[in-house]
Amino acid sequence: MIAEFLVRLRFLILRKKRSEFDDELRFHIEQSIAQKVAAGLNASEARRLALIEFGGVERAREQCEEQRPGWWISTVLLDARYALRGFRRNPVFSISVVATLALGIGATTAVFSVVDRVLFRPLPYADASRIVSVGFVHSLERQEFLMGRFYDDWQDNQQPFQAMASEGTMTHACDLIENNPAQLNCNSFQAGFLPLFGVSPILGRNFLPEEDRPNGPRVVIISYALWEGHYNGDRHIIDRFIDIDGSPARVVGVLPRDFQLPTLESDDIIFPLALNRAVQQTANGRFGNPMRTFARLKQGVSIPQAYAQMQPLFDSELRWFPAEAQR
Amino acid sequence: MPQSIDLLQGTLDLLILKTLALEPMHGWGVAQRIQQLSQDVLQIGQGSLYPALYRLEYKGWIRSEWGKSENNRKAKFYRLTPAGRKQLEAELATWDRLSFAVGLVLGRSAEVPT
Repeated sequence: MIAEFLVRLRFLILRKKRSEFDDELRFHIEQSIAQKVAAGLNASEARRLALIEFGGVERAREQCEEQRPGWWISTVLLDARYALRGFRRNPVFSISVVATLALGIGATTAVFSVVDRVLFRPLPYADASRIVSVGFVHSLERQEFLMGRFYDDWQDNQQPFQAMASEGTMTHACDLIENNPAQLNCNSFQAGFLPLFGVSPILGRNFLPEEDRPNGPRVVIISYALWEGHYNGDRHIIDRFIDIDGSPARVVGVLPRDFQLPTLESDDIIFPLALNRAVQQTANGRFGNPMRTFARLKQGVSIPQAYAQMQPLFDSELRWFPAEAQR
Repeated sequence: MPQSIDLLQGTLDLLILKTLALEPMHGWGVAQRIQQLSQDVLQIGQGSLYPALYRLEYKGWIRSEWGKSENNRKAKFYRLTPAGRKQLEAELATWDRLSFAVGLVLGRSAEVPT
């Protein structure tokens, strides 16, 4: 055990040098060429064949590097950044990074237009140009987000929007437990989320306000793909109880086939976000849980106007943040 | 040339350890030796050979040092360590058990390979 540990330690400290590996591979290729020349091939043909046989040098180098115990440590920093982007378990502000906060209001169509163009998918929302994404932006998270602590305050005091609604940032794996079990992606949004986007379920209904409350009934809306793929498009799915992560949830609606979350995540099961105002003032170092918030601009309000009207709200929240996280 | 067959990862480790048990050798030599001994059935591509050598070295079963090849070129030689020798014995025993058991299931254990 100790011996193994020492071997690991030795290789953690003494990493193989890149040039050493290159020398080793070069020797291999030279031998291969020599063998082919001895078999009667001319030098350039032998070289060509040897290189083809050898295959990708860079991939071989990577694979050798990946054999080193602890090779992944150097990739952890990169992973940490991805973890931040997803807001998995780490609350952004408990991590002492030098970060800059700013108010962000982005037109959803603009925010996601790159992705749309690549995928050739128009956002299927009614009057999509009036829908914006609103919240903080952060040097490590360029897409707007809002912390639960501020949501109600913004909701109550904002001027420029007809409506605001949030979805959770945490698409997480969840298990559908039944005869034909499946691992799915679960997420949550508020009862006001679908109406904001002008979307209605094609079967069943949206969440009711009383379902979008702490300790409300366990109800879900499922994706079209899950409905069609897993339940063969059975119309009797509505009001059926399905077992998710070990407890029953009642299916109340099925999303339209072309429905796409603005974050382009492919969630199969959506729960009500059921924000608890009191919890949002205490959880996660008193910031509450991060969320993605969207809003529909009032008629005649432009994005710069909305920005100006939201600025005082943003400024008054800044006192909650550590000084190094502010602009 | 006979068609080459895919090797399971553990099998390749076993073949490398066995080859190095005879004498220290460079990577190219290991691949050639396995190919010869298997009458060209087993051809070890570099894409599996070098990662395997590195893996075995990190496990402490083989050790490498730079030396001169037969044709006086700088080459890296791998040599079995005492821990590697023990591992080879353990893997040989596992292999015997496995091949015997698979042979039993396939009803071929009595056959002598030609």
